[in-house]
Amino acid sequence: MASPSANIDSFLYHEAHLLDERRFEEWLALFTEDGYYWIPVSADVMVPSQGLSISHDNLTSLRVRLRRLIEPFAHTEKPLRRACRLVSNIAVETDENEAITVRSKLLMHEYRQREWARDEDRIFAATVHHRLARIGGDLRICWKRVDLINSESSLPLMPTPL
Amino acid sequence: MYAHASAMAALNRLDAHQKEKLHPVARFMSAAPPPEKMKQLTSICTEYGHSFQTGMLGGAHREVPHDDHFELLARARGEGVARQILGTDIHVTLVYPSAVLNPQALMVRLVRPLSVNETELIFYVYRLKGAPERLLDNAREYCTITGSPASFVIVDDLEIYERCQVLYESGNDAWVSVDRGFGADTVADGGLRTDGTSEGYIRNQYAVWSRFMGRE
Repeated sequence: MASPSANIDSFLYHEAHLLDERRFEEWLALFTEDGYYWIPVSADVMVPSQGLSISHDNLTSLRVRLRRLIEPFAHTEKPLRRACRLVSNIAVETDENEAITVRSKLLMHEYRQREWARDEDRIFAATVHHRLARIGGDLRICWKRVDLINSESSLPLMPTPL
Repeated sequence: MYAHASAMAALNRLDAHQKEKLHPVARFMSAAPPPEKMKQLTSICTEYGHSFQTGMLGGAHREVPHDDHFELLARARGEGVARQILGTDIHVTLVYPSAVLNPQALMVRLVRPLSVNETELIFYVYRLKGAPERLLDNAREYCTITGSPASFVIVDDLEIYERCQVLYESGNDAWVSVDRGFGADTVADGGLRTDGTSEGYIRNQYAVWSRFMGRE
């Protein structure tokens, strides 16, 4: 039988894989109904209402964000970026049986081939917190918080979720 | 192609029930005027390069809702002043050369040139002392939705600016086309008055720039 932590690891790897593959509908399905996705500007804030955010999405606005990526006039997606997310240093911070808080590190390399300019190569590094609910035998995301190490600096366009 | 096209299309694919679940600010975005309505707005451009847009809310003397904000302001300053302040129909105000004020969104944007091909956009949100907390909450969300690097509203616009930059650097002497609405501008009170889709405010900025640089 797999250990509970192996279960959490593979959940986070699976999530990263879905995003790499741009299987956004399946990624959305990982969230609970009132789930949210959050990239704060400042690492000091505890809730989104305490400061500005780079992203602050409930499921509906996430759906808009992801739907935009396949609209005909989504110029940022022409051509598509390729991404490779590495998830590591996974640790359970709190465990209340029905839900757990997990901390992990994310290193994401994004690449885009461009005919009109030098190809785009960029790296995002972040500490990520997931609040995961145990529902039935499955894990679901109550919230996902991404703290970029350079969240307060001047950032390039980030059309896809991290 | 007009601004925010992909975001507007994605927002408009939501049904009414789904739209209810958006933050009020995002719902407001989804009700943004289409290009033909934008034409009915007015831009006022001054001789020093500044400009602002009006008509967004349906005219300078619109009905002011009697909500908690109005009540607080009326108690502090009187109903007349409250009506005047809350009824002011000014959308985006460009302070030449590098600041953008959006008083309804409690937002200040600074456009800061870093180098010949790099520009930094800095967004600030401010609190109105004593005003209801929801105003700050809306301002914060508006800033996140419209101003962040991950904003799904402006990313395409910025992508296009980047591509234009590459074209101008290529040495092909491409023209910067800012002729939209040319000839339809009217002169009023020492400034230009244009419709909401005219690029008159950009022509005005170039004219002011060349005057400031010494060309009469």
